[in-house]
Amino acid sequence: MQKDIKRALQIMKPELKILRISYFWIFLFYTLYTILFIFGIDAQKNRFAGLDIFFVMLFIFGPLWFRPKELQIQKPNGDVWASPLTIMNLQLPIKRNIIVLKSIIFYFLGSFPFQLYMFVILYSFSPEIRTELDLISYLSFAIIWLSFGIYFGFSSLPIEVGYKMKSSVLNTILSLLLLGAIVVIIIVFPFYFTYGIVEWTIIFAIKWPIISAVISIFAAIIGYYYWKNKMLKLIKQADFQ
Amino acid sequence: MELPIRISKDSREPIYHQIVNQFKALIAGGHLAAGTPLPSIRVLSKDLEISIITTRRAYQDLEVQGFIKTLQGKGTFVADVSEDLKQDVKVTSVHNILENAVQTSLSFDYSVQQVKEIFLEILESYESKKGDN
Amino acid sequence: MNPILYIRDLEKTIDDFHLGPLDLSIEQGTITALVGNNGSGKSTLLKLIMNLVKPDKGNIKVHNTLVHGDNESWKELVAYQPQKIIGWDPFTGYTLKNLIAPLYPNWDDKQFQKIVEIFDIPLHKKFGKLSQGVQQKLNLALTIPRNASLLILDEPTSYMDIPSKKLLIDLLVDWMEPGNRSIIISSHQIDDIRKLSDYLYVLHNGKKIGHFEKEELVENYARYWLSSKAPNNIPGEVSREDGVLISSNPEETEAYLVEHNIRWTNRSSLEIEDVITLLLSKNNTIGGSQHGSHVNS
Repeated sequence: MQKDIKRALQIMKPELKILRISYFWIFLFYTLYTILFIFGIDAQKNRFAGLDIFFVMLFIFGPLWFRPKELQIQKPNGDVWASPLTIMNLQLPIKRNIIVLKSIIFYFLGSFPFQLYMFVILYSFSPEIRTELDLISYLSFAIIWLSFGIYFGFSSLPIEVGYKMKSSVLNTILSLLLLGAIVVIIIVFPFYFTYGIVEWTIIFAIKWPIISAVISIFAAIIGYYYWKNKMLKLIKQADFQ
Repeated sequence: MELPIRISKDSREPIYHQIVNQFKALIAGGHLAAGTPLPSIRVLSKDLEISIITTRRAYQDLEVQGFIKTLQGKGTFVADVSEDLKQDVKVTSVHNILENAVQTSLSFDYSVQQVKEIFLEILESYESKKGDN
Repeated sequence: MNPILYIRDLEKTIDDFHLGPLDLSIEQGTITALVGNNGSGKSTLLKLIMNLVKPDKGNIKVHNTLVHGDNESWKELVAYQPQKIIGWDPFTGYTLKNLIAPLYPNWDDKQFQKIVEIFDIPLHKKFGKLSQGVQQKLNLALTIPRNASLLILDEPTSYMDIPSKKLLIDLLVDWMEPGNRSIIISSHQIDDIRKLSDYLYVLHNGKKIGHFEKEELVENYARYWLSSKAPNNIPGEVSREDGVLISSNPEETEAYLVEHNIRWTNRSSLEIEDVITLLLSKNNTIGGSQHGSHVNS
């Protein structure tokens, strides 16, 4: 495993060089986002689900928004989507599991440190948070969401390594509908369950900090293996024309 | 070094044969001294625009007949060829050239007698030139 | 001796294009030109060899290892230069070299420097900012020094200037010198075919026309200038225009001509490009015209 990670890091060097430039922008972005949270926490109390949307979207799509243009997913030919870097790596003597591992690490490096940074800032600068949650509960809260960033966030990874999808009007409509459905669920959530999604995770973190954290970490580990295997399967089957 | 080897794809003589004969003539005529390094099979193939299969066959023939030798890892060189063998080659190549000329003449519907006359005429012109000197 | 590349019963369908069934064996020390019309499936075949595209049927082996299996060690033995390079745009020549060189145990840095020098390639510029010709040169500089036993080049010189094309031929001839390496080159450049290739593998609209040794292929054809009138459909006849007959079986044709007392004033061989033209046009009627150029890349 250690050897694999070393290999993956070695072939990631060119990409990291590009990411270095984006790092500044991602940093700025998360800072602004955090400020928004600090000021938005009050509004959250009044069943305003906008913050929930931002929060969930940040953990699912955030890492992709700041992907440099050259590294974005494309469809070179045929119906298979992939990162151009995946295709470049596949033409070289790099094993498929290393390419998959590299994609995961690359995604992780572009998301996890910033999410962590966000939680540190949030705790340091928001008196509301500190009065509502003690340190243990806050840690649990952070773990819940950082884990979510893995088992849910990694779902955007398979498309990097050869995802077969016909680009048709129907597919575009379907994916827009899915996105719309997620937004609607988040907005409607507090009306049925009293609190919004973020609020609920805070409640869980306060009531059962250890169990919530353990379950989340467990889900993150399962999620990691699930997505990794899914990616391996895709990269083995896809036609990179 | 580019060798003065010219192959004709229109000729009925197989290409590898043309190469073998021209090499022999160059060696027998003293144009290629013993020990002269020869181009590799790949380079000669490129120069003559033929496949290495043909070139390799020509080199193998030349090696078997003792005109060239291959030293492992060093390349191919002109071999030490005995005077007898050189003479043989000279005789054969002159013979071949004359025979070709006769064949061409006959294909133009000349009779053997007419060809003989032309041939003697040419020879006489050379003899008289010699006399002038 | 085991072939360096072995292809058997290979078939692949992509949308309405069908490639195969194909068989091909590449021996060590040989150069094979992959020849075909646009959309004949040349690039697809090369991508199948690289396991970028997966076969529907058949096997491909590099040095006895199945390329579509779980063992990926064969990749070190193959250096592949695609026709359309994906993913290199944001990187400079230096960055790319630092990525690629350590992946090949036989990487020759001196050769890399030499190619960079003779082609005058700027290494500090991003790949995407280079002209297409320079991109091809950089690609070659990053492919040839890998010194893999099989070099696969997919139209490597289409944008390059004439002197550079000549330089490349010399480079490749030099590269072949050790005698145990092989090249497959897909090319529309007649000089590549004349000066480099030993074998021609000819495809037309996804079908294999044949695998020929260069001289044998040329020797299979002859052109006759007939001096008297001759009936149509002489054995071996491929085409006739103004009394000039092209035969794909000179032996049979001559036997027939002699037997029927038809005389000819001249006989000549065909140039390799004429032969290729004949091979690719003769089959036009078989393949039909429904194939677009969608598999060209």
